[in-house]
Amino acid sequence: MITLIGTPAVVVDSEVSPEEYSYLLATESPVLFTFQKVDANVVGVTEATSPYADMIEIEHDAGEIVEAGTKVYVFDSLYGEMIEYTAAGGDDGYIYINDEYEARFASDWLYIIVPDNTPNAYIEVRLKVNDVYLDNTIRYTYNTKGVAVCDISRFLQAEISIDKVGTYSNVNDAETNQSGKFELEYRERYDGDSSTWVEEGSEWYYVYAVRSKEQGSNLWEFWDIIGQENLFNQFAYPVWWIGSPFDIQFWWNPKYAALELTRNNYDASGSLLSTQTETLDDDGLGYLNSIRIDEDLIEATCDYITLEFAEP
Amino acid sequence: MRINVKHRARVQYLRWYNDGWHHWAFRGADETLSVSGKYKNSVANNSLLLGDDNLTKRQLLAISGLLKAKYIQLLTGDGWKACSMQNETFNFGKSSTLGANVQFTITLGARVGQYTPLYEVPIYPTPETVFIATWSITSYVCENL
Repeated sequence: MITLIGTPAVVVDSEVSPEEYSYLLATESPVLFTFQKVDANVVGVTEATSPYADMIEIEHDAGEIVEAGTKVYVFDSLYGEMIEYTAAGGDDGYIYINDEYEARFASDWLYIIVPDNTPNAYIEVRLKVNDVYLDNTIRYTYNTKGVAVCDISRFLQAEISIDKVGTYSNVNDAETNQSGKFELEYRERYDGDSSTWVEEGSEWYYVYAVRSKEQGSNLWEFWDIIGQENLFNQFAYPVWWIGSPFDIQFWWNPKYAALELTRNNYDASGSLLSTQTETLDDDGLGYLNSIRIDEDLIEATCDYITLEFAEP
Repeated sequence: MRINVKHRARVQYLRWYNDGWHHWAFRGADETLSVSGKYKNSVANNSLLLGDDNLTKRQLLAISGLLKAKYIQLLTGDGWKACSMQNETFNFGKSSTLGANVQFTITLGARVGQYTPLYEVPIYPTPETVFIATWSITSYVCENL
């Protein structure tokens, strides 16, 4: 049995119920999904009695999973490591091992892995990128603790190219070469199994970007253009040289089915010159969007403009 | 979100992708043509010395994204042309009155292999109207960082 124990999702709003997560990821940083393989969870550990006297009796939540002589790996959370034992015997829901009982085992031992029961085990992942399954599935192997860390970033990188879609002619253009969405499915595989695909359940979005190792891969600060109002740009105040092609990007969160962009023009003294509101093309929903501002609507005395996003 | 508006009096306009597309107009360029090798084994380069000054620290950091950018393009009269930073270094100075300044070299037409023709870089035309600001220097000095 495998469980998804870690995703790159980040909580952006903990005050709403359920909490709102950011599912926007940078393709050039490790995009990690972590899986845990557990053959049985430890229910209790006691000192065994007849016919396995002087041994440890491990009670678990699975059926009969070992025979005498089977290698058993128990995760000890106190030391954070797997302890290898050879089972002396097993009943339905019990494993007997030939070792000295200590009281702490009961709370420290968390789960059991029996590699002989799942020979050549690995986890298989497949991605559905922009509603199309990738041709190849991806295989990851477990470490000794039964943990598989799946970095899918290099498969997202294959979906990225640098060609700019925005031609400085439309109000907004979806940069489909630098952004997109994907879903993830996984299943456990080993010799003789017949596991079916399990959907991870979330719709993830990717953008051609990089984060530092400390930041992870989640682009949470660009998740909500209305609440956080972060343009996808390194400049605090980008500069538009009139007469030159210019656009600027933001990421359109799909929770907004429609967006309006309000532009205010100001002169050097901060006086408002004009205001214009435009509805953005919803083809850009879920993508990085290049916004273009019509040069004809900029006054000769305009010194700066401000952009505000809102739902219509 | 604020976007400053300027009137362009400069000729070299770059765009680069570093967590989003960025655009910036740089001060005029010295063009250096160089060829290594002979005839059919020659490799030609056009190098442009670009720069800007009076930059804030935040602008400087954003422009330094050029160093990290995989893709840099120069606007020419023939459209956007791919170019690259010649050296992976960025020379910048700090003036107490003018903020920071930056100077670097980009290379066009560089190709590893045999024979590359040496083209002239088509210059993107400057607008007919150029605004020139006139400053009256008074006694104060400020550090623009």
